Amino acid sequence: MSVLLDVKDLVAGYGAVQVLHGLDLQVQTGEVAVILGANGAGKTTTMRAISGMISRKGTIEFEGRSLASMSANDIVRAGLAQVPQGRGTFTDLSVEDNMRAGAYSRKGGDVATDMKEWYDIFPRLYERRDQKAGSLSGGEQQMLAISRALMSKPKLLLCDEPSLGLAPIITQELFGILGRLNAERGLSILVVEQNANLAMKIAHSVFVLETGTIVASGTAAEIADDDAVRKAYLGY
Amino acid sequence: MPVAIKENSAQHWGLRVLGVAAIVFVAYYLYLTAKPSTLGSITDATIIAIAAVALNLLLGFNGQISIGHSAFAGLASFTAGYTVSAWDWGPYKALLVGIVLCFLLGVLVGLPALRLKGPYLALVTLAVAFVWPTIAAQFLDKTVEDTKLPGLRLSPPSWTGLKGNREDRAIYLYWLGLVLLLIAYVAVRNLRKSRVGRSLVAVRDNETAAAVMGVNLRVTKTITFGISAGIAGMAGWLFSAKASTMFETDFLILESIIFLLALFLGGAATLTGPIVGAFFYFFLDKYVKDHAEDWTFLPGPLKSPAVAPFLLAVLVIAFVFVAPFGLVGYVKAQARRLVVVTPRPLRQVAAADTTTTT
Amino acid sequence: MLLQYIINGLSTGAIYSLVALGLVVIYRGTGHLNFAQGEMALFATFGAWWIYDHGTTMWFAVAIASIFAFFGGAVIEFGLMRPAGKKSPLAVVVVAIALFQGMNSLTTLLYKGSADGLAFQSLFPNKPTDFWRINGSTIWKFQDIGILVTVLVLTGLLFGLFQKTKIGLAMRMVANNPDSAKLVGVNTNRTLMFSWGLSATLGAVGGALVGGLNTNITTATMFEIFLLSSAAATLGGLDSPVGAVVGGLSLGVIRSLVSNYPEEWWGSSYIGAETAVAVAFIIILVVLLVKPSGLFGSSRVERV
Repeated sequence: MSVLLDVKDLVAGYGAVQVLHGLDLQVQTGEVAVILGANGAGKTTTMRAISGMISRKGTIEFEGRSLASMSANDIVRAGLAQVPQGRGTFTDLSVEDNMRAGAYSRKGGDVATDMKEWYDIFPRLYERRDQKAGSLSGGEQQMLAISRALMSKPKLLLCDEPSLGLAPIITQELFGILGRLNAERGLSILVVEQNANLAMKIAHSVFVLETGTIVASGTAAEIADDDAVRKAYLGY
Repeated sequence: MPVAIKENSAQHWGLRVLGVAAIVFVAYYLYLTAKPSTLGSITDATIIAIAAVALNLLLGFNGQISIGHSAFAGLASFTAGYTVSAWDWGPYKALLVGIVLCFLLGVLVGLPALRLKGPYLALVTLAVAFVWPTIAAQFLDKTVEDTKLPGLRLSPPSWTGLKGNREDRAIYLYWLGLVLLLIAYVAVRNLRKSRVGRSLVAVRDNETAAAVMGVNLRVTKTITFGISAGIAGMAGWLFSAKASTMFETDFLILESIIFLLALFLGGAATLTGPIVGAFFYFFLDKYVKDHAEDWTFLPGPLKSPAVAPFLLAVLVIAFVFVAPFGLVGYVKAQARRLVVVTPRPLRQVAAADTTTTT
Repeated sequence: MLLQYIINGLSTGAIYSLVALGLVVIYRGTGHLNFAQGEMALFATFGAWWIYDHGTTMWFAVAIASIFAFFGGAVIEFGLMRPAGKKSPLAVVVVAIALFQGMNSLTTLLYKGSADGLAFQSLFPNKPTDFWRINGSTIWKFQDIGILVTVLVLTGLLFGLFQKTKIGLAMRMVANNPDSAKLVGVNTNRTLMFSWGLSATLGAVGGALVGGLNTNITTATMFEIFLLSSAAATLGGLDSPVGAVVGGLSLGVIRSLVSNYPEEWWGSSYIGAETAVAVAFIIILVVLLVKPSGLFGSSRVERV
């Protein structure tokens, strides 16, 4: 295994408010890494800082390249795709246009074939390809957001709280799909999640985030064995 | 290090009195020394200042944009011109009626503001400003059956000791303009400092949040629009008092744009900004118009009095980046390096309250 | 006669549509109504006049002016509007209003006699005999047909651009969700520059069509066009290109009907050619009161 994403001493925030105070984390190639943390711990800020949506300081290396001074649109081209919190689909655009939007950063390649591939995995999206994305249900929109991110052929998929606002059964299905994407295609995934139990099932490594710094990290098994962490975040 | 003085302390009051005294002195000095034509120019600037004060209440403090204030001023000036000449009304009665009419029209224009946001509202006010000259022309054509209305030919009342000649009329209009400006200023200042003023600003900053906190959006927005229009009416009346004749073209949209630019130059959402901005705009405009033809640094086609609006537009754009809070904001920021007024701590207020009650 | 008045109204309405489309393109990208749209177009139209005056054809002059307008619009976005947008939303309005006054007075300064009007050659044949008579009664002037066809072609190209090209997709993404657009790799800044350039180009063509229709341009020409176009865009819903086209055409027709039917027909001496624009505005006001975001506009939910 090699280090795919290496974040060191990440500092970021909004205006005068600093949220992240020197955060470190690594994602290995081919693994699912999970960031756990309570509301306000800085999970979304971490994601936005990595994908260049907010200004930040520190080291962010992706496949040995520094992302720290890149803008969001260039970071996508480097191979990172983010599914933002609240899904962020283009609600006024058709499902198919959303998929095309995902391929925006690609130079060449067969967009139609890739689109068909994701439609096969998410057949409901194919059925609704001409509808406006805003008319889809929450779960369908989350599927669309993931497909859209995958259309850019990323090496690392960032998912910001995919379970937000979804029914438990849909959430389970979603994590099943994420797990399969990782297992069958070797896609590396960094996922932020409040629903710790579900996320732990597909996780290889886990980072626990508390008020802007990583307070515990390790393999999924190690974290599950850590009594303090388990009580605080896993609830048993 | 700046000198810190406490709010409402003796030093603070000293500074305030000094400021007011300086303004009174300048006003009196100008009255004693200025030529009638200069006093006339000051009155012209005062007209813009009153309208800018009105606009500041609406845009600066309540966040509603209006490009229609020229129409309100126009309505009041025509009301005065017509009622005084055709119905023999007294000019001051015409002023009051003009203000009320403008208030009503303002409420009427403000009503769609409840449903329309930002650019949609701007467009409605733009339409009002655009339609005004057409209505004025129809009115002149069909009711007055002339192409113009006579001005009010205001003569100073006898208690002032002034006579009806040109010099004395200029002096009277000068003081009258300043008094109207003072009334407009005090009205907006008191509104701003009151509970109502805080709700205005709350609506500007976040409408929904303001509504949740119990501010009645409907009433706040429409009444603010009405009051602002009423004050703009004062400006229009002052125009009719000074003008010898009035035409449909006296209040075009360009006038609204001048009000806006003057407000921005002086500093929106500051109490003195619109006044400073109006005088600055008017006299800079006049200065450029008088001197542009002699300026060697201007390239060929720009060497003309018509360069004034262009240079002022450039200046306003420069202000957005250099002094986003206008002249007043800039001066305040500079003054803060010398003197800082610290607010009274809340606890002290409470202590003072208990001592007064016991 | 009704059909004839509608035909007359359609060509002016088509021009409103074109300029309104320019307004919509910017509004969708930035949420701002560009108050300087008309005066930017004015500047470009006088530029076309200047090029034509140097002995080119009018088509060539308008084409060159439109290209310059594109870059001018992009520069205004990059140099003025974007930095102003970082300050505050009000700063954008201030800059646009100042730009309005600045462009207008600059035109007055650069072109002698522009305040009173300069003769402007139409792009289309417009001699009194240049028309077709259809069914013996209605008259189709070449000028009107030329304007309609030009606008239809441009509108078609514009919709093609929106739907079929990458930059069009990027524009739609930025309009709908700028954050997500960045996340899929759209350079939002460059997209906005393109939108402003496109908008300025549409304005420039609109200006040249108006100039040809009036056979003359003054520094006041574009103001009324801007007003009616922004009214058209508002009527259609400021974020809807289809709305801009429908709004522009209907406004042109309304104006033509109000202007041409005699006062007796309306039963009021206050309705007629002089007040046509006022009547058009009142109709729009009524529509807006019923549908605050226009006929085709989308209403968005606001978060606190």
